[in-house]
Amino acid sequence: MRVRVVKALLWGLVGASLVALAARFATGLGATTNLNDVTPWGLWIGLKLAGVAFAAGGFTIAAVVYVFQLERYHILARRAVLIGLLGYTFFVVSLIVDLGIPWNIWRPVFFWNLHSPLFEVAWCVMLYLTVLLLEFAPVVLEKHRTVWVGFDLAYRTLKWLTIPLVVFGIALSVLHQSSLGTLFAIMPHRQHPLFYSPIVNVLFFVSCVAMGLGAVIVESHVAHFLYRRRLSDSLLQNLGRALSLVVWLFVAVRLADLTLRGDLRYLLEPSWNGVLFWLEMLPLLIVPSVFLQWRRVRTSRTLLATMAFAVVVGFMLNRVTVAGLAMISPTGTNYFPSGLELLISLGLVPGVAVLIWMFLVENYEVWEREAALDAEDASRAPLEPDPVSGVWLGDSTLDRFRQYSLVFVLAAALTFGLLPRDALFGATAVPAPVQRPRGREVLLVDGDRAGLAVTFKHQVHIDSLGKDSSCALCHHMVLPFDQDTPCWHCHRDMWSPSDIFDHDVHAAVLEDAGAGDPCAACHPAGEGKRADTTPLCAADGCHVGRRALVQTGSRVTLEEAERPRHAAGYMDAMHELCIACHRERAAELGRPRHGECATCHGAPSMEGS
Amino acid sequence: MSWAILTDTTRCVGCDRCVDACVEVNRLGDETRYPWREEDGLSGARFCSVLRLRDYRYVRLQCRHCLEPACAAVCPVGALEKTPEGPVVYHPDICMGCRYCMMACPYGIPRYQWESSVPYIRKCTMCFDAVTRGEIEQPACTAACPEKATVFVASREAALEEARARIAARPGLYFEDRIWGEHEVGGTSVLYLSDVDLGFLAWQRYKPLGDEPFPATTNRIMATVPGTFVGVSVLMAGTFWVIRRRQEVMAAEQREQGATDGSQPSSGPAPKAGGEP
Repeated sequence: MRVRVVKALLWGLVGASLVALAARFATGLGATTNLNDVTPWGLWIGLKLAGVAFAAGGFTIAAVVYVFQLERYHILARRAVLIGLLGYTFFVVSLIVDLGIPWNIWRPVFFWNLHSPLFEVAWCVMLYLTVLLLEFAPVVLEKHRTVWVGFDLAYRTLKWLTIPLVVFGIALSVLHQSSLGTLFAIMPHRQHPLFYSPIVNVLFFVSCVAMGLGAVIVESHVAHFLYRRRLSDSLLQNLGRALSLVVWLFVAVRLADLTLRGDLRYLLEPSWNGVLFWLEMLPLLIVPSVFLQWRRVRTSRTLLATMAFAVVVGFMLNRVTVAGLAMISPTGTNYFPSGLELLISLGLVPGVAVLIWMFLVENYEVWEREAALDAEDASRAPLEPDPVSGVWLGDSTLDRFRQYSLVFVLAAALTFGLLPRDALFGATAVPAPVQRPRGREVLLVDGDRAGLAVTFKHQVHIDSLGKDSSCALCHHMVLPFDQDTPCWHCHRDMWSPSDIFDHDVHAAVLEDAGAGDPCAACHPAGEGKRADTTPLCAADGCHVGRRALVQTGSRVTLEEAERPRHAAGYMDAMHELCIACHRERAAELGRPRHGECATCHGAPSMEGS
Repeated sequence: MSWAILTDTTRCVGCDRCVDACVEVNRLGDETRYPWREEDGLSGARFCSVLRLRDYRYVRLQCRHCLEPACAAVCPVGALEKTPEGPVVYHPDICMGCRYCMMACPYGIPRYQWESSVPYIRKCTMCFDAVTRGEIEQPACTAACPEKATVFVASREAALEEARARIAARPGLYFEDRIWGEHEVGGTSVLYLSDVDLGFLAWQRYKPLGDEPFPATTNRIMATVPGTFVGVSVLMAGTFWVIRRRQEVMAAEQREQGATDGSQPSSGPAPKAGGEP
């Protein structure tokens, strides 16, 4: 019964996540995940790292059994290798989900960058997955070896190759598990100092050994719970003890590293990062590992399982933190995984992976030389037909398949119905709020059409002339033909604040030129110092063809104005830019107010001055 | 001789002409604003942007083209490449979309086409292709700047000299008389002069970026890889052989003893190689 309920739940998860997966590939990462430019790696990476550490049980137990030849542990070998195989398979599967261009996943085979930790990870995963397949293949082949002589041959060959495969696998695992840490050695800028470490590769390796040991203990208890398998208590107790030693090693390396880098002060910081650190270290790692040293705790099945589970959760938290949670405060990201990200993660790893695990343990001898506690699984006990209807309730395989597919289809349909709009039709743009009309901050204005432009600080003018009510001062001057606004309306007094004309420099230059009274050069005596009595700058041979006279720092640019020499009058420019289009749309939409100025601008600013 | 761009924020007037030119030359087209678009203006459709700071100060944002770029160092397939001329360029035909470059860049420059189901990394390439093809003489942004606030210099040394000359000419104007990018993360090809602290352009809330190139840390670790591989293999094979040998010897001794004592050999005969189940 337990098996059936768990399977039905898992099939439901798989159904839901397959729909989510389809959406992810159809509409892209932006529409289905909350990943963004600040946080391009999210939940998936964290879980991937946590899951692959779980898989480290494969090489750890393989080393114990085949290299150190502790024969007692042999009954754990196959299940450990299976955990490894599934862990790595789903590492690759989730990588395919996460990659932007997943059909290019083979690229590292031909395009090499020996400096990249990810390149090393890619190669190690490829090779180690192959090794794991070869290590596990005998379990499958052994059942079918009588069917065809080729199977038998393959079985014998693989058996003969066990030791080289195990040694190769260990070397690959050591490299790969640690280089998953190396991935983060290049991110001191992204991680909080409590979690960044230049020797993160060492930490990852130590923690993966602990995770692997914990995984075997947890898996044994899950198998016990689901299939009533006998627990190899004494072996698991020994593993629990080893587990606690590895956790101590991890804690020691971690604290030593923090001390040597002088970052211990962050430990006492009452911040998100400090809390994360203590949560991971105290209740999830240190306390369980202390308890595991206690014989009485180890001999209690419940306590042993709880402690091992706590350590596994602790290291999973560590991985997820390194890959994401520790980056929150340094980058200020607002990333939180989307529902679809969660669903895909759940559907793939507990979902598909556990279903494959259940299929393999039910059909092949993964738990070799072990007798089930109960000869018959409870769910296989013959059921009486329902006394009222005379119907058999779900004992036959067909019935079970029918139930599972029902759950699967229902979950898939439900998910499809609940998919967010973006996941179906692609990401939608953020609607830009209607803003008050706003020119560029800086314009090039060629006021006198002389081909020389000044940079006109639009924003400065807006600010100094009265903010929102200032537009009309220039753009709707009540002048005949309302054409444009010569700057001299305001800048006629050369002493006014303006950076287009430096009075002192002009006076100084003219004085140096020895032209007598420098004022008189521009302001003829007796005519008053007004704009209309002063010659234009280009007149009288001053600035015509003598560009060198323009001082550095002057805002008069020497380039030809790049815009059309005859710019449209301000009114025309504004009205053609906005009003023409708005009137057109107003007619199209049948909404006349769409074309009226006051609809967007608010009447006062247009009527000012 | 590597290309460099010198951006002087005291000269920038925030006219955005560099952005327009960049869009035109790189054919970036109109930008659709998606929910994930960052405040800083860079996105899958914008290689450069002008940040508006307080008091009419503007900072033009673009790829720094580090001398030892973290992005190129971590790309597992080498889709990002540091060219001998200086620009860091991107080969979309090799990319597999792992986004490690985005994670490694200390300035958060590479952006992703999140909206696409076939997304690529997008970042400034200093108009490398157009310049090497001879279509334009210098990057579009520097050519477009009306204030010469951002200038292209054919060699980084010359750019540094120019920057030092400007600092010397206007003492007290520039923040700490510092050339941003001269030493950080091993030096960058895009240099900044500014009258305000530009530290906020990189993620360094807890620790400064430092002058050591980012890839140095990973390179140190990666250098140990071949040794680790050989070491672990030899160690494991050796351990296997030693234990195996000792078990054989022990078994032989026990047989001998058994023969002399006339008793049965105790439990634990040497297992066969491979541990036949």
